[in-house]
Amino acid sequence: MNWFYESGGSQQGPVSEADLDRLLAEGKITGDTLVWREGMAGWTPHRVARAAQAAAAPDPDYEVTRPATPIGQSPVAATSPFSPGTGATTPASAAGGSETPQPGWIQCSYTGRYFPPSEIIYIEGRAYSAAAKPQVLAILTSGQVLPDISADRDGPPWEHRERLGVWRALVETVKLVLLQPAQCFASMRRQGLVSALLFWLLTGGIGMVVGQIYGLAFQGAMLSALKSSGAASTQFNPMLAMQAAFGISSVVLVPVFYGIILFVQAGLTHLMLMALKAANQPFETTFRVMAYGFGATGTLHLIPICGSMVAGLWGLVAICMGLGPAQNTTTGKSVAAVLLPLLVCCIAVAGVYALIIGAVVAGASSRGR
Amino acid sequence: MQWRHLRPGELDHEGLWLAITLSLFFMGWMLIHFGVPLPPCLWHQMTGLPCPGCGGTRCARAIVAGSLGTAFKMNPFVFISLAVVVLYDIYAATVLFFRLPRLRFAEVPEWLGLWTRIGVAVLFAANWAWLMIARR
Repeated sequence: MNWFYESGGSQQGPVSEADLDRLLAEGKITGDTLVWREGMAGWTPHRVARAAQAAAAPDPDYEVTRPATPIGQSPVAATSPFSPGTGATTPASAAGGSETPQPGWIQCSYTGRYFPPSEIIYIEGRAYSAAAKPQVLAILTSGQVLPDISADRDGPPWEHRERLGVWRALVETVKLVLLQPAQCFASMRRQGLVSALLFWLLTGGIGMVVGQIYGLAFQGAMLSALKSSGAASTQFNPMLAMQAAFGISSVVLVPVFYGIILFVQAGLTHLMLMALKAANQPFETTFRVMAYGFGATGTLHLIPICGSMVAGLWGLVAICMGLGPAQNTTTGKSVAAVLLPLLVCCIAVAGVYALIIGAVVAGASSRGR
Repeated sequence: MQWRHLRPGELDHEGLWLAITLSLFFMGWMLIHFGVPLPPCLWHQMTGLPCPGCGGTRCARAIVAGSLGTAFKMNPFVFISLAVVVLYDIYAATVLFFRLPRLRFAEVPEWLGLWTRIGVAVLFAANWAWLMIARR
């Protein structure tokens, strides 16, 4: 049955019940928003209308998948397939979900079951299924805190590469980080350096190698253009040979070099989080955010000319968005932790540059006297 | 479109984008102030034609120098983008400082999203064409 709702002083709709739930989840309407549908005497606050509806006709889906835990507590531990003491498995269906992970399905933060993406909505960065609708609605309308699944974080898809296959897990993780960084890091597993480092090597590491090759190809093209125009000598030049050798070796070394930088940058960021009293999780978590963030955005290096700049910028944005939910801290503190070390480095580089220029100018003027 | 306060745990877009854009402005200002040489445009060097961002640095320098007309001529798209960012930053700083409700868009109609994307793409292409004609 379709609903109408009030927004900005005017009537909106009709929308389906699922759409009304989505609007509530997205914060576009609240429990106080006036709603109406056929059969109702008049416009009523949403929370009152839905409470009356739930009392009159319980949702059959809810009865099927209802976890035996009270509202406000996470039922995930009791129903998660990764938890000990899981009961008998039930067959998978789109509406009822599956107890076991299915390819491409997402774990509901309330029931712990897996559902296709079409059955999932995101609230505060966490995934909830349509099957958990009555409980989640009740929690939202009563102003309680939604269940926290932090103990059962198991994303991103790269962590399930054995099940999904390496290529699919890689592509899905890159898509998730690039397009929905906050959601991705809100469900990210918090432990495990090796898995995240491997992801970074296969995405950002390779992206940087390709970026380096683009640079070398550009240098080669420039040199041949200069030679053909007669601006450069066609004889063997040891400096150019050395430069070429350095360039080729840097292609091999760039993943090692940037891998070290990744650890250093994660360390500096984590130190900043500690200084801001925002490091609520260990260093591993910060490193994982940076490895997944810079890894996925590192694939943008594959775009010639402007790819590196876009990769750097979007990498910073993704990490700023991701550190908050991963470390359980505010956006402001995560942004400060990421940007302050960069600003300090920038100021230091500019200062050194200014000193060098100053020294050169002073030297030139003293020689002139 | 509605004005509402952030929910607990919700991403603070205003704080995030204000901090990032201000940091970028600061870094850009430092580069210009200290006269740090920037790498040449690879696209321009390879093809002889300006890239869509060519003139962006000169646009920023002109803005810092206060000559807005010159800045616009250097790269209109970059100039308009910077103006939009400045307006957004003013809004973000205001709602953050006074703890005001935030602007959040309810359902954006599909046609509006589509035409916005087309509009930006047309502006981008027109800007590039203008740059190529002007710098020929």
